[in-house]
Amino acid sequence: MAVKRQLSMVLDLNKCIGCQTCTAACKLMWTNRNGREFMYWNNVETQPGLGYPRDYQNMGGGFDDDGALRLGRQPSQEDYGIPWEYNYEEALMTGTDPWLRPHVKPTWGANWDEDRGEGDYPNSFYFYLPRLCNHCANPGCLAACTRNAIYKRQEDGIVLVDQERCRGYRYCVNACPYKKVYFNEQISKSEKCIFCYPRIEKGLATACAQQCVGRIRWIGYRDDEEGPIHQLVEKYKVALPLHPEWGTQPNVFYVPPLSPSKYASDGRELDEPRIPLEYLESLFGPRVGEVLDTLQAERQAKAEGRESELMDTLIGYKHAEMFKLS
Amino acid sequence: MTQPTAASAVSEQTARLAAEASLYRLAAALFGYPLAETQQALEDGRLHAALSSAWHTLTGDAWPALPPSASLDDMEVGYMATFVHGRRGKPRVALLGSAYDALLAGETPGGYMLNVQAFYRHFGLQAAQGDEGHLDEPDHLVSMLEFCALLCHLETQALNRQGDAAPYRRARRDFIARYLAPMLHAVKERHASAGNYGLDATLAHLIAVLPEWAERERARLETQVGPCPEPGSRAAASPNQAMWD
Amino acid sequence: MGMWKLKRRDFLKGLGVTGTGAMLSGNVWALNRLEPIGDTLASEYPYRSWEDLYRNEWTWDSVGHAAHCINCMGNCAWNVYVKDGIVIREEQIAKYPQVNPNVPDANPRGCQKGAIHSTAMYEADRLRHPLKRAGERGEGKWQRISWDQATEEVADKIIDIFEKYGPGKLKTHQGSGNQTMVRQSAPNRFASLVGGIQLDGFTVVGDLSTGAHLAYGNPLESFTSDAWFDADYILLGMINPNATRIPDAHYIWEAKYNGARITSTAPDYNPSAIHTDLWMPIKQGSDPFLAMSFVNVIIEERLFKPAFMKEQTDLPMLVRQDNGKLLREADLVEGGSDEVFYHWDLNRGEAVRAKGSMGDDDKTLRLGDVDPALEGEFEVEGINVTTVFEQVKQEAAKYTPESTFEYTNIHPDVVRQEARHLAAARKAIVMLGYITSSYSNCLYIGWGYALALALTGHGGRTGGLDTSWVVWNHPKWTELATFDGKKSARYEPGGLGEVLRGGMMDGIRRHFDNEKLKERTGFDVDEMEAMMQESIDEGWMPYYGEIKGMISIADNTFRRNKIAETYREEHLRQASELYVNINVRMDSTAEWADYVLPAASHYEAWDLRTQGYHRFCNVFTQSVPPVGECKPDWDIMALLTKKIQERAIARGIGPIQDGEVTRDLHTIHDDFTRNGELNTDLDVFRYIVENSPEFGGVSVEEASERGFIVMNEQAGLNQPLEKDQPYNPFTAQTDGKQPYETLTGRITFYCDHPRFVKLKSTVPTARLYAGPEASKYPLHFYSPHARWGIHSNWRSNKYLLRLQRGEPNIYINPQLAAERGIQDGDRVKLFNANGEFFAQAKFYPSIPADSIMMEHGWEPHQYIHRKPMNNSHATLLQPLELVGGWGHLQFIYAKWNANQVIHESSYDIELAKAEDIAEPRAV
Repeated sequence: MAVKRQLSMVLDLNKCIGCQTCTAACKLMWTNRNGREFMYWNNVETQPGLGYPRDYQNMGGGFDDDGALRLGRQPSQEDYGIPWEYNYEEALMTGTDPWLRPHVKPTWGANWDEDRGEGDYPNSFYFYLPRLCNHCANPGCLAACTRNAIYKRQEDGIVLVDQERCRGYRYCVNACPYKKVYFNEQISKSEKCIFCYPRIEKGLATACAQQCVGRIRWIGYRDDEEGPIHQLVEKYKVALPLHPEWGTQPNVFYVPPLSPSKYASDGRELDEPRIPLEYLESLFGPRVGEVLDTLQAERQAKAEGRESELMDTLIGYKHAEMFKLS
Repeated sequence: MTQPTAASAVSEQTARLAAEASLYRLAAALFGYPLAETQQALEDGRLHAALSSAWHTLTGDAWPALPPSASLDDMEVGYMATFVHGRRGKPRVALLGSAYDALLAGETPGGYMLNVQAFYRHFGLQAAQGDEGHLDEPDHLVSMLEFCALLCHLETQALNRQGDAAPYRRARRDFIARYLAPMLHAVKERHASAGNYGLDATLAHLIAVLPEWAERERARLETQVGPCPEPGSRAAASPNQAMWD
Repeated sequence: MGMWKLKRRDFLKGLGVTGTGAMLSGNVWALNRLEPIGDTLASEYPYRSWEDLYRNEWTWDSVGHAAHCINCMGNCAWNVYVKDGIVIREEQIAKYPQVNPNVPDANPRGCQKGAIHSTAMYEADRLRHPLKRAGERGEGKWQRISWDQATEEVADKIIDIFEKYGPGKLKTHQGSGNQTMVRQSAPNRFASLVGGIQLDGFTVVGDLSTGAHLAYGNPLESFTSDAWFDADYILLGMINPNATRIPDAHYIWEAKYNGARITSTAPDYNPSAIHTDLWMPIKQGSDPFLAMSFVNVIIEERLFKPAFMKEQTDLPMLVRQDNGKLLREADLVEGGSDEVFYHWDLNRGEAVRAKGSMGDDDKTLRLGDVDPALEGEFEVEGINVTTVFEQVKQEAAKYTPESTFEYTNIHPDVVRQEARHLAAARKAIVMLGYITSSYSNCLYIGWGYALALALTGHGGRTGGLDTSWVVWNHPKWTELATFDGKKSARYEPGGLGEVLRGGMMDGIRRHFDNEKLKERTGFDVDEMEAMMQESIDEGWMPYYGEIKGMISIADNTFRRNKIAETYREEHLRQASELYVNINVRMDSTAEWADYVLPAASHYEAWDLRTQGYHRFCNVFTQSVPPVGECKPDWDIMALLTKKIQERAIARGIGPIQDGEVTRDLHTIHDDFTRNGELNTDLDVFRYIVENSPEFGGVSVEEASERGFIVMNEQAGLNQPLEKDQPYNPFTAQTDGKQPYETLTGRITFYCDHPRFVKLKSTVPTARLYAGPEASKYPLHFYSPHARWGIHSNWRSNKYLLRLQRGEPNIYINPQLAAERGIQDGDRVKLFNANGEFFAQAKFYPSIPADSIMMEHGWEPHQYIHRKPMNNSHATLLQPLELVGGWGHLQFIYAKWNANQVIHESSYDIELAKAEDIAEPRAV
């Protein structure tokens, strides 16, 4: 869908420390009230893992090879994780409950898989994958909405659900393969990440990016050749979309993760990264190997005292310059 | 003929309003931290007389004769153990609305307090800072009771000057429905499950009878000015909240 | 229409006197908690639709500044958004200036806990009024009293204690909850004036890097986190910065992009290890063996750098071969110093005095024309001597990578490869977190790595040991906190004071198998106890014995300590006269007090804080007034001293002799407030801002507006904090050739203190931690700091719990779980000789199958049956950390004394039985 300009975000998974400051920032900014409590417009999940909502990667949605919309499965409340409440009063004030505990036995949550990953000690592996709405160029949610309540803003390509038009049919929830549209039972409308457009309009980065203490996020316009997005996505081609095969053309991109070497059974170090390349390719497409080679080559240049524009960008010397909003 | 009837209706209304206001005020005075004067008024039976008079006007029933606490010390200990620092330092029965998750209904305590405060502000009130006031406790039961007393007062004023009393009734209806009644119910339930820790009998009785009375008040107001709006209309306004600087 | 306000007091008084009707007429409003804004009550208020009320609710009245520094070393500047006196949300200021264009800036410091703090701020256990116990201690019966009454009664009891028992019987310990300048100054100044007992804040919790003090004479001289950026080799020694130093971690990964090699040694493949070039899967508690194997390789392959060793270390110092002691001037010269040492000068072929030692007047490390021998055997006036380096070589020879493999699980090839990388690095940093200090072999870990670094020439701008703490120069803060040094508190070693006064020895004895313990750590419990006593008897470590009264400030001591129940009972028994707790909330320590005084929390007071890994002083601007009747700590102490002074005068108490000083209760308020100059937190804030040289004359207005102050060069203690350079430790020594604050004036690798001799630790060597092998229980237990809390702070916040498992959980390898029939999400029981606790099992393939991991700091009330992990945790003290009388090895607050170590216990695990975790509906 053609828009005048497209805002975009790049996230560097080599710098993400899994601290969830972005999640907390977004939660207080938008989703701690009014029926949105179960939603994490921004979440950080450990991969390999089932993610949030649980097993979303196998729920369907997006487009098939012919560009036809595929409707998927609706996540259950349990797949999102029930936003459990605590018996603070009963356990701590009235003494009627013997200890502090959630009101339901926790069986799933937005970060349930934290640090688990796969593989056997000492060759286990995992990494963090922060996710928000991809503000796609070809949004599955938009295509699926029979009310025409979902639109892309011309000036920045942000995808929004018009809260007056929305009638809560939930086709958008099914159609988004990333499961980043949520249904608010309380108001019977669908809601999603709004890329903090009220902040963007005031020249401020999104809460998740501005507050990211790992400094892993860059924001800018795709067409700005001087900006960080163009450099990472187009020039050095080190930032890749998540699941490009789903056909929605995301505008959020990831620098895939390097990983330390594995060990042989006798304790010797092997010349093989812990995270299998095939696994990364299943997430970010066939170019992952190429990207990892670029990163290592550019790092080596730095180690040898040579210049690397790519490394300097990824280092991000000035936090404020990671965002180019004009 | 009509003139005297209207006048007598007004005077009947203002008499009832006076009783309502005095019940709110007496309750507010009692739910504050016990003073020597509280104990004295209980021992002298003056509080009982005042409560009885108001309660009879409003319900037709007498206010039961309840023994005062044995001493001010006992009253203080009972108050503290129940409302402020009970088990492990937490209130057994909190008097702050934001301490009840059920009342917050998913909001932050800050958001809840602001919503309560918004009511006060609309009527030109703010949390007091002098005397016994606490800037940070707009959601205290005493504040809520005092606010209702004031709405009664404003309504009386309107009636006396033959103005429109409906706005104050709608406000009181909404405030009771949204904050006061849920709060009184929460306090009552909590108190029932917490057990007795020496709380003064008059206070305990107030806790027991106020929720139902507040509900009746609300129902009576609804017959005067129509039913409460659904809470859903509140959520619709929220996405427009400006949350950035 | 006229109306007047009636106070509740008068309303109640008047009730029934003039008739209810009159008192309650519409002309009187008996409002106490609400008041009109201006003259508005008389006018009409059109009530439109109540929905309007919510349209504009999220706007700010004001933005204040603060940090969230409850015992956290992050220290980050936040904007605090306030509406109608209530904090609504916070966001990092993120405006720290870039120090150097070639180094990334520090923005936006913070973490997920700070980002949700406003949801945790108005908790129901917050203290709002002064309280007096109205029942037995701990019974939970309270009476609200006035500040006047509270402080007067406490004042009288303090005077009583002085009268009945003399000085020294009052414990006034301030815990690590107060890390800011204004807040910390007040109780410390009070302790200085009354001579109260204050335990070492590092060692009470096991945070002191003793190996660093032994080697460098200063464990608090370290790197700012931006100084990691230009390193080309960083070893994360057990530390997990991605989880525990969240605001600083980015510098490590930016260093990696800058070309650095990053490695990690940790028992588990932790969240920091995932981004390294190499994670070394070390066996828990074997770290000294790895460090010594690095040393072995460096020596074997002669990768060492003689120039650095000769000038900066004691490696060329001469050691007598007859008795193993350092050769001292006193050995050669009648009446000579025993703090002057010798080099063998290769140029002259004779022994020469080494400059720069504690006993030497020439305070320099410059060797001049002396070329000290590192190796060889010599004779000095008939005494056969050799060098420290020879001794080190002899010990290091035992630790070949092949021989350490079985202890560490690190393959010899890997050891050799990393030793070579370390040696070749331009700037190498070994980063040791506080977790290191919680092991009984902490001293060996730090000492061993310090040796590996010194051998390879890493010090000052070329790297060194990162000890997770940079102490800055704050003369005005120090002056206020210590009463200009004119009178002192009774400072006491942390681990020692807690273990002895808390009666923990029995619990320790119950846990460990004496014989096995000695094999692992080099000492058993009896020997440890004897050496503790020896340290007191010899005067190496002070211990002030039983107390009569206790004022506890910002410290959850009854939850924090091990063998907790005994500890609490002992303290309450001793503090029979008085127990006051000054606190922001009713925690499990305050619950037992006679008096509880409510303190302002960090959004409610004026304050300053620099503790952290950066050069910024964050400013607290009192974003909102204190809740209830809470007062800032300074104001509380000002009020308390006022009462003490008044009562002392009234009771005719004059100066009370206490050693060389007098305790002047009759002038204590004048002393505390500097004769009325410093009455409030704002007075003190202003005084510190305006007079501290390191703040460079910034105005109070400017500092408050900005939310932080950039410190100037005078902030550096060991050397200036250069304006445009990250701070590297010990450049005054490596560049400026000033001696280290050690006995020999050099980085120390030889200690001939009798206890070091006795425990065969005169040079860096290796010991194991206690662990399962020193008990009957098979599983290692690894209990690191948490990602989701700062100790217990924020652990029960629901927004954070929803991003975890919702309840306390342990981490278990799926293979071990399968053996024990445990599924992910099951409730399991962990148990040992001291007790048991229950938790949810979370699968974690990144931990060995003979270990259990559990982040520390869960609140006791979050555990099933309220049985916390701490109940079954034993502790130990390392006897070497208790020596004194040896140069820099003497009791120094925050620098040298023994840690209460907390990671020595072991457990067994099984699936919890349904009946064991069944929840009775009533307690």
